[in-house]
Amino acid sequence: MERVVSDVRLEFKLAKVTRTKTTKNSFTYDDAVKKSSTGGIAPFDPKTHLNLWVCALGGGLLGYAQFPGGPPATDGVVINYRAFGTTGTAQAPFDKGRTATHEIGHYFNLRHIWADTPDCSGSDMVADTPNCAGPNYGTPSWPHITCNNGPNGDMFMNYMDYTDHAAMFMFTAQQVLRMRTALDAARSGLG
Amino acid sequence: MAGKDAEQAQLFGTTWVHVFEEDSSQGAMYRSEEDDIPLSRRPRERFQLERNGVARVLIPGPDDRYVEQPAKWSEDKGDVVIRPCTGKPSLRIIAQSPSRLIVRAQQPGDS
Repeated sequence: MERVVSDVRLEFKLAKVTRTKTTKNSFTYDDAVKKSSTGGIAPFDPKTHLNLWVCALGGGLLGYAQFPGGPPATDGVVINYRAFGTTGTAQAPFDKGRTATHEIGHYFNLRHIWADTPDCSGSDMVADTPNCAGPNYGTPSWPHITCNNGPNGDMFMNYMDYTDHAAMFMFTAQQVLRMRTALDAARSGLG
Repeated sequence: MAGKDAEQAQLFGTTWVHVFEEDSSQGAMYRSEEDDIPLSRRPRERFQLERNGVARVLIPGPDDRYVEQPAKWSEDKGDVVIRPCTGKPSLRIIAQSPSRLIVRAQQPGDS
């Protein structure tokens, strides 16, 4: 049987932590957190560093990312402090660090496994993630079959689905290839 | 009339967020983005209204950042109704307080 789960073989070294005092109660998806003029802080050398902004995000938003090729001034990922890391302010069921895994997946050019279409019509441009009809939430029972993807059904244990942190544990070989391609091209400055 | 205007004014300048955990048979609950809203991976639809009849419906994009979809709002039978330009169902605000709205989705032609 072909092996599906794959190791990204990617390690990060913490360059620095910057703490920024702000008068804002919370931020949102509009990138205000990435500018000092709007209460945030500009990224640190985004061509050579992955920037993670950890902050209060309004509306229950866990986080968001930016695909390769976007403006350098907003490059990186933003994560709600309540869904970041595994201790302290991290809240179940988003307390196993997987919000960062998911958003960094986007940063390395991965799409959601349902391709953001509700009708099986899209593609995440990865061959070994089964097509599926939409996101999965919580901790689904296996199998959840949609889009004729039986017998194994939706790959809801994939980091690029929307399940709880406890339910997701894998990238596929083709997802890893796509990420490493980004690392060799648009993200090559990361080293 | 002044009361109605004041009520409408509460709708502007706020991003209204669908808190589906609080939906009821009356309709969908929307709360101000500034409220303490539970974390959720299930995307929460949002909308914003401006005084000039312009509205924006916000849906999550492929990188989890919200994407604005153009819409318009107008009054209909005393309710504010938001009509997305994308052909998606309209949203009728059937009750409101300063930080909460109850909203019903309706297909074109529904009253």
